Amino acid sequence: MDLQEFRRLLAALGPDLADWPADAADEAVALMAGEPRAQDLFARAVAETARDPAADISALVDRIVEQARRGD
Amino acid sequence: MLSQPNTPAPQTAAAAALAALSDEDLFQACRAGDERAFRALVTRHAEFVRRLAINVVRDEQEAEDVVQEAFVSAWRNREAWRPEAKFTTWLYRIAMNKAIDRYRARRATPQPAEVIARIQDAEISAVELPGQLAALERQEASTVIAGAMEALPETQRTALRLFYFEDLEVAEIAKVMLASEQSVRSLLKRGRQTLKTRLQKQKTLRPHGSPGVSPPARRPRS
Repeated sequence: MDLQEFRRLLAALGPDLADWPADAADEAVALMAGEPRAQDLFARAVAETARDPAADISALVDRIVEQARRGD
Repeated sequence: MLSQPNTPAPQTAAAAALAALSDEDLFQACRAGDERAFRALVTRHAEFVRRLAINVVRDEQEAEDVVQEAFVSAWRNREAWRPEAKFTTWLYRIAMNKAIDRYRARRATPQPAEVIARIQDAEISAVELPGQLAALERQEASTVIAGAMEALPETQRTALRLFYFEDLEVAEIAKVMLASEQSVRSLLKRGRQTLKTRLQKQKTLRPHGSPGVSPPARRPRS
């Protein structure tokens, strides 16, 4: 899969890889692993999709800060 | 080391001041060890990073793990960030790579039943015995190999599965397992040796067990 095909599928199927055919999802992930522009396109597509009601992330934030504090 | 400023401003004023800062300014403060700046950045971006991750890994808990790993990695590698780079671009790439690693690890780790089937495909089907006896002995041998595989240490078992049943190259396995290529080679070598020894022992203990089990041969790439 090249960047053009990735862009085409992303526009058609959206960024949720569960909606992609399994083979295409695998190829998309392989492309993104080596192509930062594909990652940027993916992030943009996620930003453009309707979001679910925001989850409460306060506990997650606490865990992250605590782990950074411990591991530093 | 994360640290609180010595003379913290009132909570609301401090929060307002942090909220007014750009991501890049906040991360500059993080580099100086400011915990509140780091917390502000995490609070600002964790939800989006979680959404980014869940679109790849499709699991709430794994997505949260990706968020945690990405931010902690950003913190630990804060000196690698260049102030002229957009912070979110850098952060999202860290997160995407973490999510991709998890996606690949999941796709590359066959379920136990699938492993047994592949062992049969890769090795046992090559053993030619007549009729029902052949079927029975192939089944027995596949059980022996599966048992020997399951008894291996987790890292050796994973390396062997990825190499023999998923046809990944050493470099690819190293990436999936977050290990060096040298470590993967060592795991493969030790895993093969352990598997071989155990299978030989099984064969010795069972003189009538005939299907000549041996460590799996790598499938030719199609």
